[in-house]
Amino acid sequence: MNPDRLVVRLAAVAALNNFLRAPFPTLAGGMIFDSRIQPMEDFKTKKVFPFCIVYTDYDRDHWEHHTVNVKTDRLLTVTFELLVAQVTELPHDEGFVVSQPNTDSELETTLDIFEYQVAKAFKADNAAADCWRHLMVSYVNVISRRGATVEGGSKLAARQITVEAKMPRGPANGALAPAVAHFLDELEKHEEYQERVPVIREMYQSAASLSHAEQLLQTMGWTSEAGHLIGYERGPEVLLPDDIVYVDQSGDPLP
Amino acid sequence: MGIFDRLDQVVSRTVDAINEITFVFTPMAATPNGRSKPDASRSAIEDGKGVFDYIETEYGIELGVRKSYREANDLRALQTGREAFLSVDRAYFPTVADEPQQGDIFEFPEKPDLPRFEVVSVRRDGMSRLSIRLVHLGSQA
Repeated sequence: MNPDRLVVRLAAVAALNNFLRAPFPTLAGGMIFDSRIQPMEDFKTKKVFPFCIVYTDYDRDHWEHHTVNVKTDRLLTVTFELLVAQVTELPHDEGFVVSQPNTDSELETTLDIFEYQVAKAFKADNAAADCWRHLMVSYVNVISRRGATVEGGSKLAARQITVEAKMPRGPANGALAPAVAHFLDELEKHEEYQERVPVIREMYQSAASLSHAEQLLQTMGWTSEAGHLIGYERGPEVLLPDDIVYVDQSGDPLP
Repeated sequence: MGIFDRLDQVVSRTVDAINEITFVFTPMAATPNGRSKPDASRSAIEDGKGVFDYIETEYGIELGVRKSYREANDLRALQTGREAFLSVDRAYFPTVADEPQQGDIFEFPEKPDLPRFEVVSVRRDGMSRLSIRLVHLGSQA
């Protein structure tokens, strides 16, 4: 397993909040949350809807092993939950403001504009969107579902978008793909992430200190005994000497 | 002020006087995914009084169930824990902007065995008090 899943999630957040700098690509501004656990409420003063939460849900065949390596694609599902609530009533003569919808119809329009902006943010020219495009190699399934409620005391409309994509399982040799490396460098410049990024980089690069045989054992998931029987030993690399004499069936040296 | 509002305030103060625990309230501010720091724009409370509940509870942990798409499981692990609630008279918070918000910190200096607590939600009880749901930041006591 490699840290791609967590990098995809961080890249999605950074692509949607533009590394927490204006101009923000969506109407949620900086209110893009990574895997938020706390309930959404208490938006009395500073925090206003709309906002988005990013989760990585479902990861299939992401542990590298000789039985899955060649036969199946790794599939990762990234879930976006977009919520828009009616929090402010504008005077009717002010017209439509995307972030402050007045009617149910306007609320739905805002929600759809929000989703459009989210989709567009992953096509932008920045390190985060580029990393997303690199890791989410091929979309298999993109589904958007809608929900709404008045139970929290305000009208709230939501969309849940699940993006299922094929993902790489490697590289197993400790190499860092340029798109990922560039994104991690950008992310490291931000105070919130600067202590986390070296840990992530180390996860990618730790295999570099292993021998080729050990990298292969790790990728294929063979037992040490099986590895020994087919010539892949742990420890320092076993090199064949130069003076090997090859013999034929009768024991005579081959020319 | 109606007679019932007045009665409610008298009851509220009596409840505090009998069951009170001293709390320290520290407003915090954070970026959406960042660590929080004390929020200087709101005032802290050094010597507040409230009623604190710390009830034992046991519940399963839900693992992202999104049924119509991929079936997922509830985790089999059970978490035993304690649910922390604090009831505080709204008199401590003159305006809505002063009221505790998600992420703010409560501490109980009289009970050093209690950890620090973070605010999860704040609801008015409809009368003169706030009902504040907390999660502990240190180990449970």
